[in-house]
Amino acid sequence: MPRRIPRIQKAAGFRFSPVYLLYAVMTILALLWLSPVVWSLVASLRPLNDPFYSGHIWFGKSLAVESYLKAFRLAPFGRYYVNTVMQVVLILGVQLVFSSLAAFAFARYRFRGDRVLFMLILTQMMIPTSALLVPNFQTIRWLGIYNTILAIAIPFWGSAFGTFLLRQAFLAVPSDLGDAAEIDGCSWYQMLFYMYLPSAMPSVTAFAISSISWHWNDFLWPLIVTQSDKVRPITAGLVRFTQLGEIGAQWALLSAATMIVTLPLLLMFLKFQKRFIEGYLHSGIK
Amino acid sequence: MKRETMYVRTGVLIAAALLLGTGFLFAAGQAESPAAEGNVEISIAYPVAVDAPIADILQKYADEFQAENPEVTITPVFSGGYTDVKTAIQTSIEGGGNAPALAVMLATDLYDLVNAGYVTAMDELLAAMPDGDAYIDDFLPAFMGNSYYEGKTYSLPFQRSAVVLYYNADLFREEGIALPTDWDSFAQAAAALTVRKNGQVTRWGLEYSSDWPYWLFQPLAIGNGKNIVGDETTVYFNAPEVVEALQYYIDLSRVYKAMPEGVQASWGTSTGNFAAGKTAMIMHSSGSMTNLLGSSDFEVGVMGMPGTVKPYASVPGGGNLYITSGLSDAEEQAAFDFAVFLTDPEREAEFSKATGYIVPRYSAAETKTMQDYFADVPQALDAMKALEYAEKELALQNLGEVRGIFHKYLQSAINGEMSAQEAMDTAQNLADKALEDFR
Repeated sequence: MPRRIPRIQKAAGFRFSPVYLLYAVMTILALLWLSPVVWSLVASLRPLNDPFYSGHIWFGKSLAVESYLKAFRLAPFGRYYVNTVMQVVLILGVQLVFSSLAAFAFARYRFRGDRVLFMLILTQMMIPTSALLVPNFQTIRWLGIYNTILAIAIPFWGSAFGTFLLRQAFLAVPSDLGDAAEIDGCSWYQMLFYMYLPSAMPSVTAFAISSISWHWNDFLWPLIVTQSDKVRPITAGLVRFTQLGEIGAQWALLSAATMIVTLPLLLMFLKFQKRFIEGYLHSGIK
Repeated sequence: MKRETMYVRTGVLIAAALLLGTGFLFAAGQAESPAAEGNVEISIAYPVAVDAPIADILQKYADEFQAENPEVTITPVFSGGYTDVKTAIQTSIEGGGNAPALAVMLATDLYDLVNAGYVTAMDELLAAMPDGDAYIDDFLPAFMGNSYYEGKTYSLPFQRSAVVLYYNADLFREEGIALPTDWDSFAQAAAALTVRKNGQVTRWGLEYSSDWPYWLFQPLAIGNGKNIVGDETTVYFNAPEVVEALQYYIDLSRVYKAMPEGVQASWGTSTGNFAAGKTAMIMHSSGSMTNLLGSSDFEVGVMGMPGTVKPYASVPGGGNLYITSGLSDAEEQAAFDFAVFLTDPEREAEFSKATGYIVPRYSAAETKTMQDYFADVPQALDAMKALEYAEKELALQNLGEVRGIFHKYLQSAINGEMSAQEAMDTAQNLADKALEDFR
């Protein structure tokens, strides 16, 4: 017994320091992450003709919105916003339906080959999208929907990641609860809709946000299956400013375009960040 | 655990089988429905590599062309950067779809594109023109240098640029320094324009980026009498003139102390330093001119890189018009007609004014539009003049690997890890091996 006392004292003396250390590291990481965002914001507000030079990369002579005006002049961002939102909603909507149905089946029922099937779905996550460019393109041609928003969305309707995330969340629902509901005459879709989905809300939100941010940023596939600005997403606008290799980087213009493209996403993430993180934690515990 | 591994393995196996199956299924291909009789629909894929409204300009030209040729429909398709255009062409050809009939791609992609069968030669179409030879001869030879493969013509110069030397003319005047005419006077001018305070450099005489070095380096070698590239399988990395050029580049920092030592990763930053008066001269693309003229509050001068056996030298860059493969005769003709239409002197003059690209044809430079522009912005004319002693940009078989070898050893010499001779000998040796299979 007496030997325990020094140990406790020792622990008490050091109790707060690891936490402070953690906070310090996290603050540094957060600042590191934040610095390019802040820099882009500052740089985008420089007058266009104010040269960036060594040791003078932050504020210019004055604040100006010239870069934003020029960016909007060089690319139809308004149209692009509408397209991107439509594309993202079209993808996420169908993904949620398919993934929750599949996840429900995998979480609630045992059937022949269920594990193999689930593994099969997981392997989809290992195939890089770029490897599927040509076959997907052929499918789109065959379907006759080249140059439509549908063509951008279709290949992503079946989401292995969504199925996996929701299955993990559904497994957390005690099966006794489900059995009780069944005895009370609850049909499978009522069970899914009133029991499983509400309890998996953090995971649904997490999946929604990761899907939205992924498809908001998607560039190569939309570029290849579309050819007119009427259906193209916002990344097609950004690329007009990122590939100005021949004239050296136009930092102010590039920053303005980056802000135009990323700001909505950034704001959305800030608003939903708590649920986002919760969702990932839940799926990790199981 | 064992059961789990088994499941994983089975899963992977089934996935692979399914993938293969779908692959075969779709490889059967789907036929495209042909366009209605007499009417031709084509598209042109283009990148945007400058901050100008290229989309609007090309749409305008397409509309003008359709007004003259009502049976042809032309859709300009913005396809990202140069790499993305290539990927788009590749995907649509491999995917069995209708590839854009015309595409603006890097002049240096020639060998890759022809070897993969993505582009088609234009010789028959040129021969059918009433003045085909005169048309080709009107392009600046430096720009046509990257258009030929095995005696055939594959591309027409379109949005072209060149390496030029930008100098702060006000500084030259203030310091009473004459414009350099050869390597010696250039090195001395650069050294004289470098300002040091208490051992700290406050202004460099020269910034000469070497982070993607082959392009900016070529004018040095060419000005010294030897380009680094010969025909499609020949490089001259260790020719005495090239080694001398490399040594001269190194001496500019080590001996003359006129620019930062080692590999300079300053492509994106030297323009800002120049415009702010922190650097007296930079080597850069002619494409930066509009921005440099706009953001500098001094007189900006433009010239080729001074040479030894040549008074000055430059090297071209940028994109050409290619006709893709697998088109019907009518589509091919329409694509070619539109390419000729785009390279019309008047339109090229207008395009050059709006974008900052160099007019690729002599007759375009002689138009009233361009003459007026040259009177306003003499630097644009100087950039074109720099090309008088230019030779072709590095392009040959197995470009990616050969260029990678050159970059690696050029940079190790610049960083002082190897002597110039040793580095270039090694590069020559490895490049010869990389080209062996293509000879």
